[in-house]
Amino acid sequence: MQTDIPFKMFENCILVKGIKRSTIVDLGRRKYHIIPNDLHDLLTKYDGKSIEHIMQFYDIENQKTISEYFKFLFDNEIIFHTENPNHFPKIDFSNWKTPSLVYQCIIDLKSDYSVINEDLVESLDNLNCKFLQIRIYGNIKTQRLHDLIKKFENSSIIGIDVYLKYKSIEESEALYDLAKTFQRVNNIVIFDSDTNKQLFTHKKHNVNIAYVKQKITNCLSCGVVSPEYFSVNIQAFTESSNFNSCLNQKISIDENGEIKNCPSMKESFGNIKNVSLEEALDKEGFKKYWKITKDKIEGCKDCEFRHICTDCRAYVENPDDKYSKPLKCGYDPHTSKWEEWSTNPLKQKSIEHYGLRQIIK
Amino acid sequence: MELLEKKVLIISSDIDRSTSEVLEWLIVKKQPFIRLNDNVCFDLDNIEIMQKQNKLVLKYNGEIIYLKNIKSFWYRRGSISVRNNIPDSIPNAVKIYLNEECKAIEAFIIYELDKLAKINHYGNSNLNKLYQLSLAVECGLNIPYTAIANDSSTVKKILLEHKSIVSKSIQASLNYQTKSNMYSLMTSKFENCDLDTSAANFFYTKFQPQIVKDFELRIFFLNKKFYTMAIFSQRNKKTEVDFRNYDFENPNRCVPYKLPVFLEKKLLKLMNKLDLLSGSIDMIVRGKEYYFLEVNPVGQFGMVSYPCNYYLEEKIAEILSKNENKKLKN
Ligand code: SF4
Ligand code: SF4
Repeated sequence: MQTDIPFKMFENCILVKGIKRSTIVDLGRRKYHIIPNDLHDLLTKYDGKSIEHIMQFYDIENQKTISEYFKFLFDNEIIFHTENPNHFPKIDFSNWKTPSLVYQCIIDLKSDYSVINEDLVESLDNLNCKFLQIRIYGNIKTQRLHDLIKKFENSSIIGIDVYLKYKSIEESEALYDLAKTFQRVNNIVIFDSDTNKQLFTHKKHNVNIAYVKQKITNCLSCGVVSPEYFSVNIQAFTESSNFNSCLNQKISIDENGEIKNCPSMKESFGNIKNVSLEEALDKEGFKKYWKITKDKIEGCKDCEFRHICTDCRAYVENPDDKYSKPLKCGYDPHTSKWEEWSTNPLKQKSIEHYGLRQIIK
Repeated sequence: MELLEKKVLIISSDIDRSTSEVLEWLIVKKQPFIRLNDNVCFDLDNIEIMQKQNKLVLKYNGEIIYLKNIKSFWYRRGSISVRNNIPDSIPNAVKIYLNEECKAIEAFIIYELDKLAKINHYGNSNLNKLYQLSLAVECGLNIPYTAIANDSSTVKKILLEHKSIVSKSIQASLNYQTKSNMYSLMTSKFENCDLDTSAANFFYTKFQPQIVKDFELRIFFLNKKFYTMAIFSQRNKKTEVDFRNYDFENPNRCVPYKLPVFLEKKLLKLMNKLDLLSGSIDMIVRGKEYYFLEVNPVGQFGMVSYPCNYYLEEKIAEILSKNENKKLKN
C-alpha cells in the first residue's frame, strides 16, 4: 500500500448502496462483500485520489478505521494503484442484448410428457432459447427421461437443468449415464430427499447431480429469495440493471400445458396444444414484467443485494401492486436481518391469497 | 436469373464458439450466410476473367457458391484449397507442375474472396511476428529488445545485459501428444542455470527481456476502433503459489481500458501498414511505457468482449451484414 499514489477501484467491482449498508459486487471474482455505508461514500468520493489525500480530512481515530478499510480493499484486490485513473473507464451496463428472443424456458411436467415434442423443440430453436429447466413432479421412467432430453440434441438449447422427485426414478446410476450422454445437461436436482448430498460433480463438463431436502410439490414452491440463489456475474448484473432478473426473456409451460411467463403466474397466453410459443410470446401482456427492475420495487430499491438477487413477481407481498416486494424474501434492508418469511404476520394474507399454506411446513 | 439475397461467407472451424455467436446475431439481422468448417477444400465449377467482371463459381459438398452472390467474406480458421485429383502414377515433374497450376487457382480464389473481406484477410492471417516488430518500431511504438539465437554464448551475453529473459517461439505454435504426455510450447523464463543444462548449440529461439509489467493489454481492433482490456495478474501472495486457487477463486482482473490518443494513432498506422481490418493486439504496460508484443490477425475477441460488455460479436455481425461493399480502410 502506497499512500501517496492514487488508487482506483477495478471497474468490475461495483458499489451498491442500501439503506443501512452497502455491497461491493465483485463481478470478476463472482463474490460480494458487505461494507458499511461510510466506506461506500468514501470510495465514491475519493476513487482516483491518494490515501494521503483522504487522510488529511480525518482525525487519528478515523484514520485508523480508514487504514483498515484500505487493507481490506487491497487484500481483496478491489483497488489498485495507478497514476492514470482516467485510463480505466466504467463498464457500460446500460445495454443488455442477446441474440435470443427467449433465453430461458421452464417446463413443468406431472404425467403428460407429450408436451416435449418436435414442434416444441422447433419453437425453442426459432426463439433461439438457450436454457431449459424441466421440473418433473411425478414419477418417470429412466428411458422416458432419456428420450425427452434426446429431443434437444442439435437444438439451440445449450444447458438443461432437470428437477426430479426423490425415488421417482428407478436407479440413480441412470442419472450418471444421462449426464454423461448429454453434454447439455448441467444440473440434476433430486428434491424431497432425506439429505442434502452432492452425488456427482464434474467441473470440466459442468455437470452437477445433487440430492436436496427441499420439498417441492408443484410450482408453488418456486420464488424463494435467499443468498444461496444470488448470482454474481457480469451478465446477470447487466441484465438486472435493465430488466427483471427472473422474468425477462423467459417462457414457460405449466403442468397443464398453459403457456405463461412463469408457471406460477396467473395469466395464461394459450395452451401448448393449440398455441405455439412464438404466438404466445407475441400476445399483448406477455412481457409486462420484463422491464421491472429491482430499482422500481418497493423494499428492494433500498436493498444492498438488489443487483445480485433474483426477483419474483409471481408471489409478492401485495398481490394488487406489481411493484410490491417478493413475498418469499425474509430480508429487511432496514434492519439488515434475514427472518423466516412464512411466519411473518404481515405476509399471512398474501400466503392465503396464493394458496401457499400447503407448501409451508 | 437468381434474385437471391446476397450471403455472408464464413470459413471457420466446427468448434469455434465465437463464430457461432456472431452467426446468431446474423440470424437476428435476418442476414443469410454460409458457414464452412475445418480446412475447406473447394471444387471448382468455373472461373472466367473478363473485361467487365470476373466470374467465380465454387462447389462445396455439392452446394454451388456463386461469388457474385456473396456480399462479404469472413475468414476465421482453417485453410482454403482446391481439390486436385492428381493421379499418383504420373511422373514427379508432372505432379509438381499440376500442383503449381492448382496453387495458382487457389491464390486467385483467395484474392477474389479477400476483396470481399471485412474482418480478416485470409492472405495475411499468419503475419510474420519478427516483421511485425520491426514495422511497429517504424510506426513509433516501443518493443522489447528481441534476439534470435541458437547458441548459449550469445544467450549468455543477453542474460548478462538484461538479467531476466524469456524464451519464446519465433512464429509457430507446437502441440503434440505422445503415448504418455502432452507437449505444448509456452513462453518460459530463461535463467543462467538453463544455460548449464542446455547444449552449446540449439535450435533458433526468440529471446526477450522479461519486462516487469504493471498490467497487460489485450486490444481488439475492429472497424478502426480499439476495444481494450487491461489484465492484472494475480498479486495476492496467498494465492500466487497455488495455481488452482489462482485459476478458480481469483482469476486475473480484466477491466476496460482507454488507450491514450497518441498510442491509438501509432497502432492505427501499424494496422494500416499490415493491411489488417481487425486483429488482437498484445501489449504490456510499465509506468508510462507501452510495449507492443504482437498482433494476431485472427485472434480471439470473446475474452475481451464479455468482461467489458463490448458486444463485439454483434458489432462483427453488423459489419458483415452491411450492404455497401467497400473496404473499411483509411
Ligand atoms: S417469478 Fe417467482 S415463481 Fe416465477 S419463476 Fe421467477 S421466482 Fe419462480
Ligand atoms: S429485499 Fe429485495 S433485493 Fe433485497 S434480498 Fe429481498 S428480494 Fe432481494
